[in-house]
Amino acid sequence: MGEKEGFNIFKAMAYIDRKYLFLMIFVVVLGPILFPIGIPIKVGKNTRLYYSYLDELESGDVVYWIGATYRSFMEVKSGYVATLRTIIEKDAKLIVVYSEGDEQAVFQSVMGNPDTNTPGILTPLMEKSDYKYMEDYVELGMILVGGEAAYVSLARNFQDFIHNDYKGTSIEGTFLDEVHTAEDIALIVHAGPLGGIGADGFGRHFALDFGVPYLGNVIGVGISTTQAWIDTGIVKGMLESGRGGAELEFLIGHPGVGLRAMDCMTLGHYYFIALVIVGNIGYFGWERQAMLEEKRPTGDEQI
Amino acid sequence: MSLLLKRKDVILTIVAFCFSLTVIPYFFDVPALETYANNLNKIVTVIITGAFTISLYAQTRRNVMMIKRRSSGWIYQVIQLLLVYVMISIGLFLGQTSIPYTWLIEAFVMPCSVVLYSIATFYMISAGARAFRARNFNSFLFLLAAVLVLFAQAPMTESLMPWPAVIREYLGSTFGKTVGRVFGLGLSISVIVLGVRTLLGKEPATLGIMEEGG
Repeated sequence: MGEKEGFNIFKAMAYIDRKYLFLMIFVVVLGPILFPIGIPIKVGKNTRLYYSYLDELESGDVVYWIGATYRSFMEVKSGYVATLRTIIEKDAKLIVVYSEGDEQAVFQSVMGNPDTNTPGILTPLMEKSDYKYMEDYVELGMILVGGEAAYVSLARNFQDFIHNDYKGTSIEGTFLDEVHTAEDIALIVHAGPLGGIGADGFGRHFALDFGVPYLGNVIGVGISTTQAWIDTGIVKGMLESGRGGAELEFLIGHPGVGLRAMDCMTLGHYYFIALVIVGNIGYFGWERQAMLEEKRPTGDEQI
Repeated sequence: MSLLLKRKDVILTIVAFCFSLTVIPYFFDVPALETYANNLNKIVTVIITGAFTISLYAQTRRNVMMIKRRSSGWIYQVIQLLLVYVMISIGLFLGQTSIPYTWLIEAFVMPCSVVLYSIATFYMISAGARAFRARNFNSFLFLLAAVLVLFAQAPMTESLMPWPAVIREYLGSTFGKTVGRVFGLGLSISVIVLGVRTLLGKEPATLGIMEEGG
């Protein structure tokens, strides 16, 4: 019968039961949502740069809005809503384009669906600002599925290729009559790419060829790649995931889901760091020793 | 005719022609060529979209086989097939802007997309506690950089102390950007090399050419 091994704190640190790990993540994320702490945040340089381009918009300026899928929307929702809010308040015009099917559902969850009278998050603001479909914004639909041909058409010969919105309604007589090439565009906002931006169609055919300012509301994994494109000047600014969105909410004075999530983000980050440190303490205190002893030949084997 | 179209030289000629038709307008302003290039791009887009029907067929066949065999989790295949075909039917006959279609997006697609992304949290937490070990000096440096960047990334940190942001900025603007650029350059060069090899006929698999049949 072997000896019963006593409790070893280092072993416990190296092999924390997963159910406690997962329970703690629920506590760390749900706790601040239910009981907000109000942890302070500081607005970063990239968010200030992003906001500066939004702030320069004037009434009547035309902005391309590239949709976000649900996969990225949940991470960049705060920046998505805050950016649209700013565009509406500036009375800029929106051309909305998509590359995937659910991007329209995301957009309409924020801006509403005028056909079915389904309200969105910003419907009260739109009603207050008299911001209407076909007068102030038009959804062209999944036009980006056309790939390179689509980007070239949008950038160089809009009137020859785009005649209807996503429902087939003619766009004649709307603000799009004044849009011919990328030179007529004041700003492009990629509302939630799944990676970085800069090398995509709008980067090549709008930002690079015509110098149109290009902004991105990027998810975490896209931050470092997009930063490289900001250095080249092709991308002018970005919101760094949920934190960037929260900072933008703070800048525009409309706190929302982003700021509320910052408590969770802070605690979640610290929790993960703590797990890495505790795990490594357990590794050096017990696991490493156990692995070395396992490899060391015993006296019996040598006989 | 079919034998002719299976010949490697014929396929390569078609590829070279389409390549030229698409690339030349980037460098020379030839309006007629640009029209043909745009039309070709549209044709390709439609074909690629049509290829989804093949994946639908393959997925349906796989699911039906699993259901017939009553394999483990077969009930989920039933639910999946049901949802896929209900959504396709509603989208085709009632339209993508119809209320039932929008409801399906908001009731199923949206929550599932969110969950798929969020579920990675548990893997990351488990990895942080169990897999991220400083087994040698290199991995120690990697962990140190990761911990410092994470610490600086937490919103509260920067409002309390400035130095983590400076370290994060340094790591991001030196190592991070360098690696990102190397990765981007490597990817771009590989794509160009693959394109050249395809045009030279050295990548038969890409063109669907069987080596024995030529």
